[in-house]
Amino acid sequence: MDARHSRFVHLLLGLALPMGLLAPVVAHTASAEEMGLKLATEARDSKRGFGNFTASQVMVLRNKQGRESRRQIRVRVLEVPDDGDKSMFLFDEPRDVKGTAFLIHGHKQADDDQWLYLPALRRVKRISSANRSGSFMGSEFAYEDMSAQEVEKYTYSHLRDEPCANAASANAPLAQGLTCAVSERFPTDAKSGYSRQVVWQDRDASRLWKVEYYDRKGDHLKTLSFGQYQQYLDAFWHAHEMEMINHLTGKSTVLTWSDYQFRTDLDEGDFTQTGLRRIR
Amino acid sequence: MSGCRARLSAAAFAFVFACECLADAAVFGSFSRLDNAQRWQAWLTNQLALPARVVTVETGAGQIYRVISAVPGNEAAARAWVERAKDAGVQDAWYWADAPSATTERQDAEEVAHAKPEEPSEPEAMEPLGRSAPEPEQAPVAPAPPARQVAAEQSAEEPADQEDAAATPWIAYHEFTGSLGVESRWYPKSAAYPGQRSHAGGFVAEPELHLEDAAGHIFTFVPFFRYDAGDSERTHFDVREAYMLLFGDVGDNQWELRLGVDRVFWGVAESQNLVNIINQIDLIEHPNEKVRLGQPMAHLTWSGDWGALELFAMTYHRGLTYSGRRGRLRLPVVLDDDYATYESGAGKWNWDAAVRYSGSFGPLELGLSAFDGTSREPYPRLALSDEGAPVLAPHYVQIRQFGLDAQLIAGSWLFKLETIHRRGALNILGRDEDFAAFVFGTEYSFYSVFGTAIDVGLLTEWNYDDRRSRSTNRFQNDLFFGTRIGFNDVQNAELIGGVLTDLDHHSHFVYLEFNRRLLDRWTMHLDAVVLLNVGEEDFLYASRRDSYVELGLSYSF
Repeated sequence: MDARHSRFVHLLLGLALPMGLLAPVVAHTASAEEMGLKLATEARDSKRGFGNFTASQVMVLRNKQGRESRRQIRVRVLEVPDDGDKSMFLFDEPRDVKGTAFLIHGHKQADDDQWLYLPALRRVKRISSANRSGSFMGSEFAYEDMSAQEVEKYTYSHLRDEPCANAASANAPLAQGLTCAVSERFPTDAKSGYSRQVVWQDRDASRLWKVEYYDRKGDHLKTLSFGQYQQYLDAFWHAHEMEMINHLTGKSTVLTWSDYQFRTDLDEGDFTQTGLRRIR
Repeated sequence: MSGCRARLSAAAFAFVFACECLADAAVFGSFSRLDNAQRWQAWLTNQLALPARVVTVETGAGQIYRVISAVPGNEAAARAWVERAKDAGVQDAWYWADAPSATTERQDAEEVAHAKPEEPSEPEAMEPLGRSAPEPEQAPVAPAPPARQVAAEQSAEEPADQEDAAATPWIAYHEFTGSLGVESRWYPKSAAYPGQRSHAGGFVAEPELHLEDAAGHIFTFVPFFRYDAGDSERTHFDVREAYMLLFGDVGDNQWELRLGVDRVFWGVAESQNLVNIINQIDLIEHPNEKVRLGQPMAHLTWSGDWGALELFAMTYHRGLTYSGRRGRLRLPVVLDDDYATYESGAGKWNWDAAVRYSGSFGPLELGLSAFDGTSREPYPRLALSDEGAPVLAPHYVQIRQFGLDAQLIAGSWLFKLETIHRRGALNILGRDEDFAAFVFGTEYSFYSVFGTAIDVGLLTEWNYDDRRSRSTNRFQNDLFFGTRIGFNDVQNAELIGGVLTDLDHHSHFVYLEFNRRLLDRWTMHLDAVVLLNVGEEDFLYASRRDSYVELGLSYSF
C-alpha cells in the first residue's frame, strides 16, 4: 500500500512510535555521527505503513505542590507518503475549550502548516508554527515535543550501548534485560528551545525509553520517560504512558494514551479546513 | 482500507459470510505463549463473562497469541466489549478495526451465536472518546444490503437476532454540551439619554446538541438565550445553529452539504471582519460586532487539494439586534427591527446567494468571495412608531459585494488583508454610493517572553472606507493597536486588549478582555470598553457616555 512508502514519521509518532534504532549492522568504520543518522533513518523507515490511527490522550498536569489538572484530547493521525503526516488534536476537557481543534500538516523540509479551530466564533485560524518551544496546553510538553520529529531536523551522534534498565523506570518490566542505544540529537532549527537531546532506544524493537532535554544554556531541563508499551498491527509499538518531568520547575505532566484504532476510514478530506469545522 | 464493515444500523449479526475482509474485534491482550493467553482467556470468560477466545497471529517475528472477542461486521459489539473490559480494569483493551479474516476460525459464527445474548448493543453508551471518526459517506456502505439479506435469512433460524436488530438505536452518537453564564455590566457614567439604565445584568445560555445517526448524518442544534434585567431588547432568543450535515468523497475531492441555520466565519483581521457577510451581527451582545445570529441557508462545499469552493443560498434575512430604550450603546432614537423595510419585494424572504473560494498556498491563506442579496447593514430611517413616537426604521437594500481576504505567514509575523467592494449601498446621506473598504494589518508574536511561558502578540491594523465622512460605520479611517497575551498556565489565562483610534476625529475606542478558568468547569471573564475623546462629529458620539465594565462567570458542561 502507498502508505508503506511514507517517508514521514509524525512527531506525535515520534513519541508514540519511538524513532529508534532498527538494530542494524553498522560498519565499524562509521563515525558516531554517521551511525546516529543511519539508525534514525532506519528507525523512521521501520515506522512506515500504519496508514492512520485515532487515539485518546489524558494529560495530567502536576505542579510542585502536587496539585493536578486534567486535559482530555483526541488525536487523529494520517500518514502522508513523501511528506509530513497530518494530525488533528481535538480538545474535550477542560470543558471551556471543548470543541477547540488543532490541525497540523507536517512537512519534511519546510515549516509545518497549522490551523486552529475556535468554536465560539466558528472560526478557523491559520497560525504560525514559529512557536516551537512554547508550552502545549500549559503542560510540560512543548509544541516541538508534540510535533513531527523529522530525521532531517536533527543531527545525530551515537554515544554508547547500555542496559535499558539504566534508563527505564522500574515499572517498565519490558525494558529489563534489553540493550539500549544511547544517542544525542541536536536540533537544526534555531527556534528550538533545546541545545540537544539524549535518547535511549532499545535494540530489540526500536522502542524509546527515555529522552533527556537540555535547554539552550546546556542545562538539563526535562526528562521524558516511556512505559506500558503495546504492539499494534503486529508492527507498531506504542507507549501508553509518558511522563515529562521539568527539573527546573518541579512540575510534571503524565500523558496516558488509550483507544488506539488503526486504519480507520479517515482520509485526506478529514484533515482539511472543512474537516476541521466539521469535527466532533 | 476497504471498509466492508457493517455499520451499526446494518444488522449487526451479519457474520463472516457478509463481510469476509474484516473482523471487528475487541483485543484484550497479546501473548507470546499460548498458556498465558489461555489463562487470560479463562479469566476474561469467568470474571467478566466476555466471549473471549484465542487467535493466532503471524508476525514478522513469529507467532503471537491474541485474546479477542469478535463478531465480524459488528463494530458496536466490539467497542462495547472494549468498554466493559476497561471498566473492569483491563486498561489495554482496544478495538481492532481490521483484524484479518485469516485470524478467525471457521467455527466463529457458532461461537458468536453463543455470545449473542451477552452482546451489549447500545452504542450511545459508548465513551465519546472512543468513537471513530464520522465516516458515513466515506465508508463504502455497499456491502450493507447483502448483509441485511444474510441477516434476514439467518433471523429465521435465530429469532433472538431480530430483537437485537429492532433494538439498534437510530442515534448512533450524541453529545450534549454548552455553557451557562451570569453577567453583570456596569456603566459608570450617567446616561446620555433619558431612560437608559446604568446597570445590565442577567444570564446567558448556549447549549449544543449533536446527534449522529447510524448512516453518519449529523444534526446540530444550538439555541441561544440571554436574559437582561436592564434592557428588555437585550433579552433575546436566537437559534444559532440547527442544521443537518452530510458529507462524502468523490474521487480525490470531498463534498459537504449543510442544510439549516448555521454560522459561517470569513476573515482574518481582528478589529473588524469586512468580508464576513453571511451572518447578521448580534450587536446587542457586544459592540465589537463579532457575535453573530444564526442564518438559514443551504451551504454546499466542494473541496480538494486545490482548495474549497462554497456555494450559499440564504433566505429569511435577520435584522440587526439593537439596544432598546433602556439600553446603552445606541443612537438617541432607538433602531426598531419591527419597522424594518426592504428594497426587495420579497422582504426578508429574498433569496441571497454567495460563493467563496478559499485555499492555502504554502504560507498564504487566500479567500475570494461574492455576495448578492439583502445587505446585513441597515440604513436607519427616521419614522414614527405605532404609538406616534420617533423611531429609527432599519432599511435593508439589495447589494452586490466582492471580497478578498488573505493572510501571509513569515516566521513570527502575520500579514493580513481584508477588502471589499460593495455596490448598491446607501451612504450616510441616504444616497446610492458604491464603495471600497479595507483593513490591512500585521501581527507579531513573541513566544515565551523573559523565560516565562507567556506569549505576547502585537497587532496593528488600518481600517479604511473610501467614503470617509459619508461612511456608515465607525471604521472609515481608523488605526488599531492591540495585544493578545496568553499566559499558557493551567488556568488558560488570556488578556486581550486594543485601541481603535479614529484618525479623522481623534476618538478612541478601547477594549480589554481578560479570561481565565477558575475551576475545572468554571471560567470568569472581565471585559471593559472605554470610549475616549468622542466628539460630536464622531460616529460613536451617541455612545460617548457608555464606557462599561463587565464581569461574567460561566459554567461549561
